[in-house]
Amino acid sequence: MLHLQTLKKSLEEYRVLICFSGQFSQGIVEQLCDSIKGQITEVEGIKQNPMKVISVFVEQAQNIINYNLKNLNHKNSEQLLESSIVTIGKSADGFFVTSGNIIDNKDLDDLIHKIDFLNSLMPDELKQQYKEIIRREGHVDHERGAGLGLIQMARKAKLPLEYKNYRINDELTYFQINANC
Amino acid sequence: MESLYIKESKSTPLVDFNAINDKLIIKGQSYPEDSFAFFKPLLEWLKEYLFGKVGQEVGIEITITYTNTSSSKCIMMILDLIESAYEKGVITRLKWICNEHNEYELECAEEFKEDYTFPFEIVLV
Repeated sequence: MLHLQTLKKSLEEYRVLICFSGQFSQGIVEQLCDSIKGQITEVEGIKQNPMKVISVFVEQAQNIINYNLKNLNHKNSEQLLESSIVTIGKSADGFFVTSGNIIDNKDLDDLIHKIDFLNSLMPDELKQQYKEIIRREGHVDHERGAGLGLIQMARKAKLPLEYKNYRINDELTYFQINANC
Repeated sequence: MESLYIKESKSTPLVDFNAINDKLIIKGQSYPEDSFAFFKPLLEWLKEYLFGKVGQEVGIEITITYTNTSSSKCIMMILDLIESAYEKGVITRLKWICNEHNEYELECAEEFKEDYTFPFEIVLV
């Protein structure tokens, strides 16, 4: 039988306050936003505007939702949907938002390139990027790349945005991104 | 023209576009799953309404406590419409209301304001 206490201990070790694993929906994103607001105002000694954390969380979660929507016809779509996880926790001087999901290997280089590029920019350059992309991008969320969402994360979090990727097989990679707020 | 009223939900703002007293209000947070689907009727309504208001005054009041990036794009499209109406002679007066304790709201308002020439007043409450 699953040893939940071990799982919980592990979450506590990483100071995770909120965690959701499994298929996301908009309703879940909304519930978690409420929960974040409540919990962040409760954490004493840390002055942090919960809106920053919420902003980073929503962009991460909606990027995953959009990625999965875009890949509904992927032959591993079921596996992609179930692979999603998002965590919000306490770091030394604030909060972190870390999420992960399975992506197709063909999307990996582009994603890494985008994050590396954003990490190399100064705040005013990020703002310029944001203004450029928001004018350029199309209307249908799940047809876009993760462009605008990533820029927003980079603008609201402390740089760099950190990531890790674990190759599963010739087709799939587990990708995780971490933002410190 | 008929007014447009949409009740606030958890992830979409209140919309109260009153065609009788010419007061347009958007108030709340915006991060729906499909922002464009939510904002499309607003954009269509505004396009038709503002087109008929040349030489007249229209008061617009926006309070956005939180927006995701795709909603920001839609809000930008609304502001673009206001800008072009203003250029055509509609007397648009926009008040963007921010909570003075929430720097996030003010940053968001100031960033939008930079791109427009129509009267855009940021009010701290």
